[in-house]
Amino acid sequence: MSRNIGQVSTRQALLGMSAVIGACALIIAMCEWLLLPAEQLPSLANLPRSELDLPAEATCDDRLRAVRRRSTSRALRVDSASLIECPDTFDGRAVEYRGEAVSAVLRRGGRAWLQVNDDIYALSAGPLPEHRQSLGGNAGVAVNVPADTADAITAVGDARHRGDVLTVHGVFRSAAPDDGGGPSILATTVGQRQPGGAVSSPRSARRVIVATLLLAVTVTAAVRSRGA
Amino acid sequence: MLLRPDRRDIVIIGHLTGLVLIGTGLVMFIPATLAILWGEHNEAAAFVIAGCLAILPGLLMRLRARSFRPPRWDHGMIVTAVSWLAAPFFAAIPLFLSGHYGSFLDAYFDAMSGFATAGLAVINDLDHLARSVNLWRHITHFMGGQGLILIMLSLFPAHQGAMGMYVGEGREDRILPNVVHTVRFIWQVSLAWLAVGSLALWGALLSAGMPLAEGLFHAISLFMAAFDTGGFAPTSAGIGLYHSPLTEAVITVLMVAGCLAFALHHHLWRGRWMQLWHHTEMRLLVASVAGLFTLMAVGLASSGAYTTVGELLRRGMFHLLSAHTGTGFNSIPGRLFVTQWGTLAPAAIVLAMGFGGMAGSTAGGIKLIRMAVAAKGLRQMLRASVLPRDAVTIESVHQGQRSVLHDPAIRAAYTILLLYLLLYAIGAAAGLFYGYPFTEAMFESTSAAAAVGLSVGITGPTMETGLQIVYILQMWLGRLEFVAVLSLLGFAWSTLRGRT
Repeated sequence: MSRNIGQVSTRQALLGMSAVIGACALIIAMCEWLLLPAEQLPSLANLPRSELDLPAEATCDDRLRAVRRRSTSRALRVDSASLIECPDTFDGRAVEYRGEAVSAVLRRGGRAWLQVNDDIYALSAGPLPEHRQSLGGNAGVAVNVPADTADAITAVGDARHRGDVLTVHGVFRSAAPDDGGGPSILATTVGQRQPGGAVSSPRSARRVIVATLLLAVTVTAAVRSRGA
Repeated sequence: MLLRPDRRDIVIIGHLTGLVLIGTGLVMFIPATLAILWGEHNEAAAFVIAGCLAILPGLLMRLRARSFRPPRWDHGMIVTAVSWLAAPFFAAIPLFLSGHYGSFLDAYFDAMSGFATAGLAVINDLDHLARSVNLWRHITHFMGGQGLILIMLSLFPAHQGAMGMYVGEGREDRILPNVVHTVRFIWQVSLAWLAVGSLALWGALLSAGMPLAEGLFHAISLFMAAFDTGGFAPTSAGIGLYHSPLTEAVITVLMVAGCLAFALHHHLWRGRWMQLWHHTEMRLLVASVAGLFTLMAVGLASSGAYTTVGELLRRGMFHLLSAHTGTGFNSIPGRLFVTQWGTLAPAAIVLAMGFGGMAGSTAGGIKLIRMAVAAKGLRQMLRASVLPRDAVTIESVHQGQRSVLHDPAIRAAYTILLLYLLLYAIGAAAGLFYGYPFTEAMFESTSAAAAVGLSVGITGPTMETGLQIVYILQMWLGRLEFVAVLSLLGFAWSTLRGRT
């Protein structure tokens, strides 16, 4: 069977697709090489993912029992997963909640809103930029604190900072009336504060070199293509 | 009979795809510059690397192929489909290099989610993410919402085959006679909304207690996610971070503006406000929101999630509009849809996500015009069956002007509607395969395919790889509304098995 000389043969098509896939694999390999090395965290396998570390299929009764077992006072020592998985179980109860203040302190008259995370980055491993290990997503709950507590916060978690770690005592509301029905803890007192601080990660000389080389090649190609 | 393509077809497709990648790469120098100003040097280098890697294929094609014949309509479709696979690959590079993704596939997922304006995310520790990378995630919404082809046509306007690419990106409305003028108008509207919307949001966030600079960053990011109906938020708490009814109200206006067709924006821009009353999709949007909100209100009331009407209205309406417009913002943790809202209210959300917004907007889903055409087609058939044989039944739609519905249009609407339902079902089946309950699997699948982004917790850093790949394909297919992807598949088949 004759073929038009310009037509793409099956072999050429497969070679072309392989070349594209190969180029993508090369780029991905280069990206892996350019990643900053992860810090080795001591006993990473033993770090709890959350304060309670219950399996996803735990029932609300299981969560309540687990929370009661670890609570030393009348206030239930909860985690965000239990509050969100079982909002009705904990609604209206006195709770103790510990976590890292992140993002921003939103002052509203005599009180302030905080987002307080209790995930592995907040309470165990530290912010990801510090150690560069992917340990999952964020988890937390909104907390409404007295204004003087907000004034005492020295750092909130962001790309450059680990936020203050707070222990909050208050009442959990699954649909807070002062927040249009959003879930939050109305804090009465905030004890035990661990101040946050700056987070740094090393500069990558490799990336700067590769970026400079690629920029030079790109500019050269751009100049030549305009001239062509 | 399928004929094999020849090398000139490959050159055309490669050249035009290269132009899209050049556009994508050039945009990356915006976050690169900001990263330098913010002292994020590792991230700045990552953006420069990714930008150059995106630009180089396009430049190489320009050097190799100095001239080629004019592209056809099908070339445009194929370029669109290929570009929407290739651009997220390069956009994923700075995401992956940020260190916040477990694998390159995870970074590609978020990049595709960004461009497709889905808003589903698998990022690790978003709350400690570098500002430039955070902004880049939102910029991908802006680029994808406007359209990658639109960006390419903005930078390289003099292109034949533009119409095929424009339509391949899910846009059918010809706002102005010339595609290039249409592209300019879309930018005009978007930039006007960017200015007004960002300022309004900034004001709302400042009144909510946000610091000045942080408020501006959040305002611009949230604008891009709201107007382009994307749904990425700067922090893991989403819109719930702000505890601000004013912020939610401004965002709601932007979400609704984003789900209006750009052709309707053109009428409003020209002062033709009565179009809002006559427009078929606008009428259906209002009716759909009213009907689904009734369903949701009954569900929320019976579940006891909220104790006051005000709470029910605020939380229910926000999430219903977020779902219907395809934005995917949430002001409460997504798991509460399952643990607090009962069954009926989340079902209303799923229906809203599935229906989607207006055709020719940044919203996803089946699209209201297709729902309207399908319903009117059904009504026409029912009327024809009861009326005398000689009776003439006419149905019409109003999209700027009244046009009569003919059988081909009705068939096309039903075809796309069925394809979307099939896509929702396939994604749900994949979720069931991985052991998730049916309601949650259906919710997440519809969210991915309709490019909404609301999540009940299935999507996350620990999600299964197979499910991730299914959702990536759903977002790709859903955003392009199937036709461009089918063109690509036909082209690939003809390359391998076509007649010589």
